[in-house]
Amino acid sequence: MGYVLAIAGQTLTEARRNRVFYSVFLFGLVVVLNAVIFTEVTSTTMDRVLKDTGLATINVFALALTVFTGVGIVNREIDRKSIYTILAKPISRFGYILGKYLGLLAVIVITSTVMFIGLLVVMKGYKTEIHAGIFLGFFGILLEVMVLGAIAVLCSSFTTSFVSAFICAALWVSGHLSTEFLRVVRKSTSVRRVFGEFLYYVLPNLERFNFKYQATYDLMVSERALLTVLLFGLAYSAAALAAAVLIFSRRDFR
Amino acid sequence: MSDLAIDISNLEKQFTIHLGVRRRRALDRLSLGVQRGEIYGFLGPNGAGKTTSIKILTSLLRQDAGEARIFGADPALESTRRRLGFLPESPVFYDHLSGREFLRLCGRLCGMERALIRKRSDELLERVGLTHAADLQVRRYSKGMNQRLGIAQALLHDPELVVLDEPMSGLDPMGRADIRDLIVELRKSGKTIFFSTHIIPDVEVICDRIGLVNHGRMVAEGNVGALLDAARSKTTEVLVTGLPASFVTPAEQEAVAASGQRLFLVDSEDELGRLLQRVMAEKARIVSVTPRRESLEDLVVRMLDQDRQERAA
Repeated sequence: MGYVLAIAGQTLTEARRNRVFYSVFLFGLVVVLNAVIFTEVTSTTMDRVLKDTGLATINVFALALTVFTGVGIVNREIDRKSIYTILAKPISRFGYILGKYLGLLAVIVITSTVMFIGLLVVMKGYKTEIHAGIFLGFFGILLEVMVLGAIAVLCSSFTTSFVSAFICAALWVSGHLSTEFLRVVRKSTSVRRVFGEFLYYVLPNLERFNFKYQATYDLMVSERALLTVLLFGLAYSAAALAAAVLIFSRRDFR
Repeated sequence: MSDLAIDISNLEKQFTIHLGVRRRRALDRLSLGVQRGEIYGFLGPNGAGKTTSIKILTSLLRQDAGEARIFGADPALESTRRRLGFLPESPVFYDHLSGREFLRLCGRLCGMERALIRKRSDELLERVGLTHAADLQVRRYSKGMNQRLGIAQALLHDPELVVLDEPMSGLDPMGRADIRDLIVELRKSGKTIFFSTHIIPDVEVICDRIGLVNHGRMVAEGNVGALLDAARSKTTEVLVTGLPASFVTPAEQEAVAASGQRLFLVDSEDELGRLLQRVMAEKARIVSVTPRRESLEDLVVRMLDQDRQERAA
């Protein structure tokens, strides 16, 4: 499976040479500006504001990076026809999809980690205490982009970048509202309820990965709950990738 | 062990067009066989089914019916494609990589050792004349340089069978001659080469056998020399100067010639004898008497025309 890593490495190199990592500098600017502005207007809740806005900014940047890089990761190569040379090599289509996904994940994890370290540096600069909660918040962000990345690769294996971006955005919104959605549909008629519950279980519940509240107030969650969330993220990503492989393996390249 | 490097039998493929409302037949029970160690030229007009056949051979497309085998095995298997080198038509590569980096990637995809990748890359970059541009990003390559890199990546893992889709496209005459020499060299080293092209004179020079495809069907297949011998024309061209305007022959016997000269085409020795006697009687000068030899290009055009008429009938 050495070729899977070769494909992942190529995806990472492409992102690096297309200056995707420059987004980190923009993030740094936003965090420092935030810190400067909030220092002027608040003193007692400074640490909370810094953690909250910092993690939220990392979340937005990581999601944007996932969607913009992920939605074209396969179909761009099909459109440009660069995929012909690659798939004619002795590699499996499963390996190709896995390599692309791992490359995407590497881009997002590296960028997000650099942003997170930047946030810690700013917090240290403002003498804010760094508790374990903020690491929990960052862990949740990584799990969320891991799932969304797999969905982006799935969409990219069968449709255009524009439609993929739309689906990802819609799933992100619905994924954060699905608990509310379930509460509403449980009050309605049986048909709507069954359909609503089906959607709830099929669509990703991204709110499970939201630990920002715990990060801000430095609360911890049980190991069991963390493990459940991790397994949910892994299982959902694996299912999305399996669907991508199934679709991609049946595709003709005209 | 199969004697055939490529064995295609009754291959069929249809594509949906107009949003899936209509279907277009790309391959219609196409069959062909390529022997190990030969150079096979795959000819045909645009849309004849050449690229579709090649994509089935490289597992980029799946056939609706029929069978395609490489060395007796299914091209969908990775182990089969390990024995195959492929250059797509108008190839596009990762343009953020340099030529050398792209070859390194291809080598890793083929499971080659790093040291071997480096050695083979250097050799092939030199062979295709890209050493000077090896570290330049592919986005800065010209069409011809892209084509040369495509040939290098197809040969990197030293495959037994090389499938080239329009390898001469985008190359200048020097580049074409280079690729022709390379193909002949590959055959000498025991490789099998299967290539599609529009440039028929190249085929005539280097191919052992050709297959002519039209509308997804095989129109003619065989040894180049034998096909030309079978189609050898009995027509003789007679070029004459100094004939008076009053000298007339049946219209089908005269062709267009440079001013002051007249060109006659005769189909038998009797006709030739009669024509020469009349010309000498007029005291005109015979510039040349040449038996007309049909080129492969003429033969292909004639066969395609014949196929078109048969279809229309």
